[in-house]
Amino acid sequence: MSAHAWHPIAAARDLPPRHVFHAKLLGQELAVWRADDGYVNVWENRCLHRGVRLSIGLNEGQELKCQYHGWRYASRTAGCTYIPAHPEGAPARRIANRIFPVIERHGLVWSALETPPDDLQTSLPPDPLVLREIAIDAPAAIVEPLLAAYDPPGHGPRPIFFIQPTDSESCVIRGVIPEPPPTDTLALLRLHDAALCALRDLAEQRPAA
Amino acid sequence: MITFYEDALCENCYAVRLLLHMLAVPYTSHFVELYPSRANLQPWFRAITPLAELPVIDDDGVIIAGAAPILVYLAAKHASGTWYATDTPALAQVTHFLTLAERLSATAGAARRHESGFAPTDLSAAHAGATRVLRGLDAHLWFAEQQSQAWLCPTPHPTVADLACFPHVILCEEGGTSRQPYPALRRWCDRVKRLPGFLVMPGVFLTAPPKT
Repeated sequence: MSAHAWHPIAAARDLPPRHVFHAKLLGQELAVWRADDGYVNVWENRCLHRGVRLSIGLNEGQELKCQYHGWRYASRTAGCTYIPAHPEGAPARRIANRIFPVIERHGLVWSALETPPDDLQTSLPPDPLVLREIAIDAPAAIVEPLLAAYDPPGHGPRPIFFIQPTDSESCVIRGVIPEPPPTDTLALLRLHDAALCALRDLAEQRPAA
Repeated sequence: MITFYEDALCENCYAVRLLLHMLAVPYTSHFVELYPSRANLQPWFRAITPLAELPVIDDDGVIIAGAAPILVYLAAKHASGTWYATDTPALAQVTHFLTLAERLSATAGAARRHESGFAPTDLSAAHAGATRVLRGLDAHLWFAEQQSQAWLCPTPHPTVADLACFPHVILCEEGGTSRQPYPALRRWCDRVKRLPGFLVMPGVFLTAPPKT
């Protein structure tokens, strides 16, 4: 669970145009948004002005605008481009939000809190079937052995699972099926969803005090 | 002319206000303060509705109380076939989500009233109940998106089901329930906010206009 490793933090289709996705990785809150040119921004979820969450802000296509006092930040650089209280002056160049590395690949969006040493290494195809993410109120260490024992329902293909550690008490299961059957993918998604929700119930059962 | 008895901070009143504006139905607002004066317990309001709860409308003598019945009444009267469904499965689907909205009000809504409305409740039970419903709604909407459906019911037009659930979902963070684990619900909130006639209430913010 290294801060230097790539973790999936969203599905690619979680980021429609003009939406701000609210993610969390290893306790760090993230505002994730796709610019109109397709570029995915992964930023600290905090306006530099008053600290309000940028995940409630406005994705205006090229810029993210804070909901409270309208500070604007540019896609890619996260540099502040406009401060409504100072309409005449350009913001200082050093005013830029904290950005995190990002790769959009295999139907998922990947990030890391610190610079990862290498490019993302997986054997996944470009466009696998992405299961619905399952957010679990239990630590990744509890979920890991349960996932290792996961029995694919209906004798179907086994998904490849990634565990996104949201913080020390919770995680998200992100599964992909590399080569899904050509038909009935919705039924397959539902089968896995039901099985993973049952797995979540197990993971969230706290041992009796 | 409709008289709408409402409180600006009441999420159930917000659901009705949204539909009144989206349908552009004229009405007169009559403010009934829930907190701190508890004006809803005054005899004059009890004479209108024995339950003494908001919201209530008086449509030229027809008194309807409660968010879901008012939504159904207004939609069936002014927008049958769009905001309200009349065919058999859709009618049941709308009703399903109207009942889930009531459950949200009793859980996420109760937590919000505990935190900001001085109405004590069992907070951990309220949070657990809210989590159960929100998880179900999020999964439902994720699969709806997979089938290119935008709304709670599989209809091309949003229904009163969306408006009944929306206030509880969009205000749940005031009660201490984060929406961060519910990405499909968050995208649905954006879609509701982009409906013509949408308006905010305290604690609710606009989203960016759609890409053109």
